[in-house]
Amino acid sequence: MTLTSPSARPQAGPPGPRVDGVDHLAFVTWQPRATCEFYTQVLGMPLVHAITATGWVTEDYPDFVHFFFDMGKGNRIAFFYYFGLQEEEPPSDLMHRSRHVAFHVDTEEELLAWRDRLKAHGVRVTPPLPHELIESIYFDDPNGIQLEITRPLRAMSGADARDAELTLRALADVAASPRPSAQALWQRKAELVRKAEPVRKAALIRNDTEVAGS
Amino acid sequence: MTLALYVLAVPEFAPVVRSAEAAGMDVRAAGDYLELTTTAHEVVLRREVTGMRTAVWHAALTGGLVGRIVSFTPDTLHLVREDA
Repeated sequence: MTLTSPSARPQAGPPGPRVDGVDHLAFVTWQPRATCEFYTQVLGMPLVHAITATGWVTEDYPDFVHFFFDMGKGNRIAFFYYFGLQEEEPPSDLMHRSRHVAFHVDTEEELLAWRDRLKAHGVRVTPPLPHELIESIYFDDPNGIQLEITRPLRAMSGADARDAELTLRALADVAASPRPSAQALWQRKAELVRKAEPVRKAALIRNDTEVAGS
Repeated sequence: MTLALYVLAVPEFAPVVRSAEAAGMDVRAAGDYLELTTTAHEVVLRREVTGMRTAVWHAALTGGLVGRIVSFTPDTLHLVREDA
């Protein structure tokens, strides 16, 4: 079964200009050959653009090559190679896991096919790991950037968005407090859920009345 | 003060509700959520009752908590009333 992408945006949004997806993500590489081979041959993302330039931005900006791979749907992943730039230390394990890129597939079959393909290319990849809404495999690119391929386990709903709104309100409150913690977040969230519930019920009743009266 | 949990009414969190029921908590619908309550001073939810995967188990309190956490391990979630 194919589900709607969990990233499907709500129909209604605030007025004003809106962006339409990702044009490109940009990272830095010290391994241009391995990076190009990995993205084109293993991930099958065509190299679609490259620019080379002297570092004109500021006095200490190094000369560079900026190259782009097509991720699909008009989205690209890009890398800078800077001439003469000393390689950075790898990030901590936590930052490595946190800063990642997740590619979307629709089905379990596609997810498993990707796992087989990665393994066939000698890439270390995790088994499929289900979370709440998604199931994912994880692996690294040659630069140590964590990549993920994920499929939806169910479509996102309005309830998910309303719940997220309350979670972020609770987080904003708790993060500004002297001792932020997960427990404090969950306690504040319960207060907001209790406050929101009568409002939501009233709104539903109002909508029902409007429908009935129309 | 009643010990209470809010659990978003979505399939992945249904096992949390089963675990709470197994621990003697009452369940009622509250909008997008299920409200799980008990008048007991404490409650222990057990993951083995739920068959939940660890990643979702550790998100079990995402909907909100009226109470305090005594311990939250990969196997059990021990909660007490805030006035306990």
